Amino acid sequence: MSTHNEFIAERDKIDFLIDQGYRITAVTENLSGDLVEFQQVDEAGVLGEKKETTSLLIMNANARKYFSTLMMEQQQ
Amino acid sequence: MADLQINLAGIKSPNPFWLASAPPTNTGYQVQRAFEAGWGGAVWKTLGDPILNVTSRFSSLDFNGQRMAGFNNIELITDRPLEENLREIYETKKRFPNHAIIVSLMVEPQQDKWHEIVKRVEDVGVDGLELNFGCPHGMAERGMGSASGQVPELVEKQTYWAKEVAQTPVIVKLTPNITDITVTAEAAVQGGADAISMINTINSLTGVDLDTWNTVPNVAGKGAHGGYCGPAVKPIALNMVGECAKNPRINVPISGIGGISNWQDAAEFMLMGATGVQVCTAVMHHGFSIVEDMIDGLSNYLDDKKVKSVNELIGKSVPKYTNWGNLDLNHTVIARINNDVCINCNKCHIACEDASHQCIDMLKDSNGVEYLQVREEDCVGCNLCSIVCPVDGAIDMLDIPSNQPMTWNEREAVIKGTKVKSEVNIGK
Repeated sequence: MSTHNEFIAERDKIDFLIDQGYRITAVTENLSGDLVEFQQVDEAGVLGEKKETTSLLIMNANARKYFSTLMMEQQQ
Repeated sequence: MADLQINLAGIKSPNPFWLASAPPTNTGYQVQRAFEAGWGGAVWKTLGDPILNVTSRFSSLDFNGQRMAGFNNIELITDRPLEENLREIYETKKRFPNHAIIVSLMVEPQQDKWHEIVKRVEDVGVDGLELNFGCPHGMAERGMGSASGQVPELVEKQTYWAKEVAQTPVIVKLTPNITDITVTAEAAVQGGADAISMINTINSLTGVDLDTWNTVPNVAGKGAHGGYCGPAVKPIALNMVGECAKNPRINVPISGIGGISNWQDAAEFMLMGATGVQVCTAVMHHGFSIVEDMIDGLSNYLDDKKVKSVNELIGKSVPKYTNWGNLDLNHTVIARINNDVCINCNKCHIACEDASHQCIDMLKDSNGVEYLQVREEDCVGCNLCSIVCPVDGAIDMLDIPSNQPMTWNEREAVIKGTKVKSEVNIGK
């Protein structure tokens, strides 16, 4: 698979979770890439202890830029 | 016509082109001929206790047919008595009162030695002094030159000693043979330097003769490291000038040195923060007359840019020079091959396949004619294809600005911020 296709595949996984109401809550950088933790937000957009959590290991460089840009947009 | 006059820390010169302290400024005969040719200033070859030289002294790195792409020397400071040099400096200044004569000095790191030479040199009427803390060979073994220039405390102390008695501006010439030149530049400023100049030569060995196994150059079969200069060192020098120019604690003018061979190089150094430039290797290669093209070229460039004075160039590119962490990670550059210009040499394909990201495809059109095409979505914009391409205009590198700029530093901040925020939100 080309590097671009790897990016598309990982970007789609991130977009799917964002579409499902998840927000990125933490990123742990390691030798494989970035472990990105997500948690669902409630209707008010607030994170809560009982909400669903999940994580993705994002290995592609452009995908790591992509979720970082989303995080910046989240903060803005 | 644009004004080329400069004023470097009070040293006025009809143009920004000075000869660096080196073999071309060894005598009054040479400096006067240089001024006749058009050079605006000269830094007299370093004065100190007269030395003894060896032969041979120079060697050159030729690259792909270009002679003197890099140049190495093991010549030391002046081998002539101080009185002889001072008499010629006096005569030269008398004949060329509007040209800048700066005298390079090197003595042992002792207060009385600095006081004595500064006073004796200034007595003949010079425009400024340049303290040589940079020569990497010979003198360094005696505790002078780069040996003292690599120790910030010695740079500061010796600058201070020179400034205690100097009546003219003191320029401190820095060695590049150090991890961070801004440290010694700051030390020079702390010592009271009116200006700094950089770079002196870089420790070097030109080569080894594969027949005799002697080093190049060598003296009766034995070699020693020399100082490297010429076009090959320009990128190193330009970075060091830029690093000092953007450092707010180094708030003195910079005289740029290092591989400057034409007006374009000079303009680049001035854009990166130099007030003027010094040239040596290009003169050793082509003679004093190269300054004519340098003056014409710079003057025409300024006129084309509608810039009235060369001083308006100084430092204009410095705000554009930052740290890697401040570059936009989302900015995209892609290569595009112009097939009507491409000669199908395949060098870009080979370079991309073997050394980059394998995104230049060799395809055939409907007539079976081969052509090259970039898979733009996989191109990382590294520039290698356009660098190896032998045909101008065959490959364009296209800028695609990002909608959401993001630097590494911003990314790190947002990731760390999220960690803190999540700990609060999740109640860990």
